[in-house]
Amino acid sequence: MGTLIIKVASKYLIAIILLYSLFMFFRGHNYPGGGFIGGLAAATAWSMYGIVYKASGIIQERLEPSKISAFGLLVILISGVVGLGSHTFFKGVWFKVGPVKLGTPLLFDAGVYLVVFGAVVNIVSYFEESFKWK
Amino acid sequence: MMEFINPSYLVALCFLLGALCLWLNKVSFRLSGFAAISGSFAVLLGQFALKGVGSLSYLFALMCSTIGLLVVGYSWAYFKKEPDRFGQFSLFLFAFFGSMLGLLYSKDLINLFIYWEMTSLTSFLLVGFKNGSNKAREAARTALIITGGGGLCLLAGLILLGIENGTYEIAKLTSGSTPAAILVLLGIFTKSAQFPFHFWLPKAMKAPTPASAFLHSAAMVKAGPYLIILLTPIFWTNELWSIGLKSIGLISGLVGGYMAITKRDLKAILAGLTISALGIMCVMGSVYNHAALKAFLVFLMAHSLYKSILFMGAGILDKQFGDRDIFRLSGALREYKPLLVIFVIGLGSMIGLIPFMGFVAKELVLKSIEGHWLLFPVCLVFLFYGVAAIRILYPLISKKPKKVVKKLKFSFYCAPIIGAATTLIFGILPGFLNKLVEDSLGEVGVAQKVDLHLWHGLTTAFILSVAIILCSLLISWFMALKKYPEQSGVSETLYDAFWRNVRAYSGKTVSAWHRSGTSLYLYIFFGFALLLVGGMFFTYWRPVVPNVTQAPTYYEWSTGLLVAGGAILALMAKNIFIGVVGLALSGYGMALLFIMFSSPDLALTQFLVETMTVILVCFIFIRFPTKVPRRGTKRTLVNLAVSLGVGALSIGIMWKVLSYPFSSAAAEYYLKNAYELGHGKNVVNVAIVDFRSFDTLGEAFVVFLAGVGVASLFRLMPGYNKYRGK
Repeated sequence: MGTLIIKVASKYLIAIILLYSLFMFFRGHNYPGGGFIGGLAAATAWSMYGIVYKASGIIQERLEPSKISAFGLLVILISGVVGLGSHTFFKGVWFKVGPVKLGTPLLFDAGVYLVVFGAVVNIVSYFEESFKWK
Repeated sequence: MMEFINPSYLVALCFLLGALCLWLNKVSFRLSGFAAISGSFAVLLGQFALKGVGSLSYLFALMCSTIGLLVVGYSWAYFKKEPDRFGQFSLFLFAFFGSMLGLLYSKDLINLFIYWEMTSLTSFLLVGFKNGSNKAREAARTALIITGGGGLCLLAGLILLGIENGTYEIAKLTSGSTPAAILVLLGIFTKSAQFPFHFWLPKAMKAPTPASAFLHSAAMVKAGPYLIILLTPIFWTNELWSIGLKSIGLISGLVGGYMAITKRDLKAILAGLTISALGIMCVMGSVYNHAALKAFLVFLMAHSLYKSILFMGAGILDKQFGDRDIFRLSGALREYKPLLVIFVIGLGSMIGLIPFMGFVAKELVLKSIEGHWLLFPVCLVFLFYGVAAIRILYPLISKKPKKVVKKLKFSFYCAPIIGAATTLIFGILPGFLNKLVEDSLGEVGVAQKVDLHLWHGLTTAFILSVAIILCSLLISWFMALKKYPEQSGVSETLYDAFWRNVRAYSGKTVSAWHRSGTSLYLYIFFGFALLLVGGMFFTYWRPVVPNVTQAPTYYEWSTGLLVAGGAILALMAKNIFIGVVGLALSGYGMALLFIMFSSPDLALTQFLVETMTVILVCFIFIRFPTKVPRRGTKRTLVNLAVSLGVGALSIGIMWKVLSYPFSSAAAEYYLKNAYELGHGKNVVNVAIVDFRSFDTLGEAFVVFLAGVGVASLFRLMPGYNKYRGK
């Protein structure tokens, strides 16, 4: 898969897809998008990187996607626990910073993003890497 | 008294402390120990700053956190030789500690149940802590199956209680029916190791001793008595409740006592004594009057204290000599004077010698049932205690030890010495507990002034107590020091046989159903769907007309053709990758359809999922020959029939669904409130991350599990270890 065309193209594509994933993530609150879609998009970018540059082993060692996924679960739980202070588990809590409204649902969505991203990158990089120990 | 902390903060603090200790232990063992000890001290201090807590919960929680502090200090010294494992142990211990406090502070039945099961789970982790040992794992499984299974009975009982009373708030409960009583009792008996479920406790002695000193003396097994005294005001009029508690309590008292005087393993003896003491608590808790419940509470506190220091002492002996058999440990206490003090105070308190706390408790117990028929069997149980005490103490001080003795460090016996001192203090001055006990009894509706004394004068109870001790000395002469053969009880044998059979049958079932090859699963799955859903469809068949008002436009038609064409291409393809392309076409076409029918969120997700699926499917097929294998005609016909059936079924379902009027109540609610309550314009996303976030938590967990699951499957591949090793 390491032809010159895809190698050069993927450099730019990966950057664009990652930006797109962040865009999708933040856009999700008012327009189509959100943590799941953003996470999947980011996972696509990383999978591309792993496949084109044969870097899945490095992704496994350095990025540790399963830990990212677990951390995402933790973030989700934390965002749920914040609500305990005001009313019940998983009740959204909102703060107003100037014109911007920040709330635990954003944190929750970030958690979903991380879980999806971590799980998918984990699966893909194991698939890719497993050719080496077949 | 400052009153500003919510009990849930303390529970959360415990869990955080566990994580902190685990993390700190990677840096330094000392630092982690410091954090653990000061943290549990903070939890203990925090008890004094709680607001809005019932006295009964408070008494239990105070007892738990006092002993928790001692045990944490002790465990730090216990793990000095294997410092790497201390972090993990404290994680489990604090998780247990937090669950136990949560259980005690719950004001709601369901909350109580959740914490109840959490103590079972954490105790599973603690009992199986030496996970390299098969026996420890087996013991942990047994403990989990029995306490967890009992917990499920308890859940049913609590739900019954909730339905009967119309509320799940504990303070508002007024009555309970017999089925609820039976189910709750099953929960209590399993958790508190009562006959016939008692055998998990001696088995659980495979746990590291600090865990035994906490779980199996002061905390987890005391959850049963806590529930008894909590629910006695509701259930005491129920005949079955009091008969059940009395009979099972007495049987357990005697069985536990018998176990104690026949076992040789020091910790198993202590476990037998715990079963027996819990039996006495059940008996006392079944009598709903002031004297009995007062005796219940004081006896419970005394038992927690002396049993935990005895366990700690046993753990020290285990660590110093590497053995727990009382006969092989002969003379051990001669070398260690502090240990001698600990054992004498612990055992003295157990058999009720002046001036230990156990004496006060035993006096109260005997006094409260004076003249009742219960007096005789309870005295018999106490007789067992005396014999067991001699059985433990005599070999340990009789001869010179055979082995070379290691030096005993102060940090190791510090915690049990403090516990022993507390036993002594509360024995001489039990008045400290007056207010606490009085308030707790007030809470269960048997308020009276409580005035505890060490010396009551020459009462009947005192004379009885002396007589019991003298008798037990006499009996000890004949039977305390014999070496009985190890044997397992009837219920344990039955339990083992049951699980052996379950394992055998489940193995047969699995090999009958699980053939390798996905196609069989698909046949089974689709076959059942066709049979059940399709069957329903035909039984209730009525010709219906879907209320479709619009004819599809040309672009909808053409996208539909794209979806169908992709699917047909996938079916016809000779090269497997052409098939993959066909599937992808079909999927992307679906995404286009989603856009047309105004669900852009779904369409985006479908696009991305389709892309990932193509990548993954390519990864799989790259390992196989690219030519699609051809099946025989018969097989193809079967496949065709199944797939046509499933397709027809889906169309039928859609047809039927469309013929019903569309209810938009839920949609309107979301449209109305998404911006007001969720502050977002995208209703789908607000629903996912805010309104239905608990569901999303579950889904996120599934995604996480899928990732981890695939990873572990790859790690099972034969080449993996070699690859990692290079």
